[in-house]
Amino acid sequence: MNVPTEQIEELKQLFPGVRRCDEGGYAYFLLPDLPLPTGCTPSKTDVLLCPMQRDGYPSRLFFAQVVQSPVSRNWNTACRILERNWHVFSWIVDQPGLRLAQMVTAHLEALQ
Amino acid sequence: MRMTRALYHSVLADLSRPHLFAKERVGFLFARLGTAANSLHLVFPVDYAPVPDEQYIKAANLGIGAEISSASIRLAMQRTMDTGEGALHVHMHEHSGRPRFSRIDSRELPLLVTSFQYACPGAAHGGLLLSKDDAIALLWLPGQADPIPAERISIVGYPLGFYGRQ
Amino acid sequence: MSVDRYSRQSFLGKHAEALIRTCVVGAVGLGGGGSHITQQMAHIGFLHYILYDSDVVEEPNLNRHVGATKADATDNTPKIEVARRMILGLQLEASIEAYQSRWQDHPYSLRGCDVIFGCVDGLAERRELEACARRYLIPYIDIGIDVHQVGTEPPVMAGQVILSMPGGPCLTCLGLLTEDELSKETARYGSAGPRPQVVWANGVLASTAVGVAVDLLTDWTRGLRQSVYLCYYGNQAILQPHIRLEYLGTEVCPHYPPGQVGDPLFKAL
Repeated sequence: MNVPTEQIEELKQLFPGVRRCDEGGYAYFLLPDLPLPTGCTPSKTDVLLCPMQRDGYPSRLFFAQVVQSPVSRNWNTACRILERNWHVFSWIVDQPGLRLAQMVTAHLEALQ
Repeated sequence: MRMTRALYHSVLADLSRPHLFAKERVGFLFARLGTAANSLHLVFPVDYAPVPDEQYIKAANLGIGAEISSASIRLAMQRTMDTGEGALHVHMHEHSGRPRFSRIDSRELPLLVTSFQYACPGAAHGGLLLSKDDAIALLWLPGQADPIPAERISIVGYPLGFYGRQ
Repeated sequence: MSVDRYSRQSFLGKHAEALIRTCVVGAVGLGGGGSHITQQMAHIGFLHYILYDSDVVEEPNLNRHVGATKADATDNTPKIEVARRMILGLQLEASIEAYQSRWQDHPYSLRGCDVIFGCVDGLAERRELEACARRYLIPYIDIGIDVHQVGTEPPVMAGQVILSMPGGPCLTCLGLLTEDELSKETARYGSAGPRPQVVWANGVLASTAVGVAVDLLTDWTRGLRQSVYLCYYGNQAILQPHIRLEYLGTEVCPHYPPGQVGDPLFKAL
């Protein structure tokens, strides 16, 4: 997956330490120790962004652990990606043309 | 060590080509690292770069199979630095059965590996020696001063092949 | 070990026994399909096993779980223990690492396998298992069966045996994993549901899978040189290559390129 340079730069600026790894035809961006919205437990965790259509979702944000949030979410799926186990809740971000950084924000908004 | 049969055959094909004056051909495999249970380390050669013909040196000692220029070694070092992959010196002895590293191999390989470790300390480096139907490998894992022989060399494809120490 | 035990399979080649004895076999899922596979591997002479199944034997399993007994259903014996008992009953010196858990919770052992059998439910499970097998350069043999019925038509039984060989076409290339089907499965919260299963169909698929593995290892046919994707049409009792194989090119699998092996390397942007 080719990502425009400006989106990469924006991602790097907003999420220090971001790195990329691909697997099975999908691109993944690792955001280590991402601070989560206020009221979440834990307050930060590793997060994996998949900005591609995957399993019926236009994009997906995977979390290293289940997050307790002010708004309760349906953490119904555990999955293994890039040799780590991840957790994800049901949430569709269906706005076309989002930049990578905007995708991350849109997914995190679901926890507020 | 595990490598695909396609890569293995491409290495064999290249090393089998005659050289104008060198008795043996040499190349470099570049490898990724994996970890398994019980401290088992897995080394995966993923790409092969033959030493170009012009980077061979006519050896003064007739007992030497092949001598290569420092340029070829620098290229391999650069690749490991750029990619994080380990470098494995690979050559072949044209016989059947279990090959053995020669005295010269045993002397030169550690020196080569030292250079690779300097370029990329986080990778596994070493040497792979092929025969027509067998193989052995010596590997220096990250941070290790001494090599260990590869317990098994798996050629993954049709069919599966297992070489090296059983 | 008596040499005579394997005399009937000497046609596999003079090195076959040694290859079989040293091969490390992984089996994920030890139910309907996996129980057949482990039984056959033990008969053939395999000695090293990495096994995963989080489940226990229950009454509804007894119509197809090879090696499970009525007592196992009463006692809810873990399926890994049924497998262990079966293997050790044939191979006293077998080494068996068995996990009563999802393989994802103990993944490191799986990486040491020479071949992995996947007898799992669901496409997402298959995708994860294949991803691990590809990353650690392990041939992955997948089996699965399904029975569906439309209206008042007779049920249709279909299944597959697929060999996903590193470097070759993957389950996505072969059309087993598609975004459409994975989406539907995710919409059901990942549940594949209790699938209809019968012992004879499981047996066909498991036996075929074992045959593929033995051929891969011993090369006794000297004919296994490309992808295996066999479709089982249970109603007609036919097993035949999937037509998709005819349209496969010789390109390297784009989903698992050659460099994507070993522990994941995240690249700084």
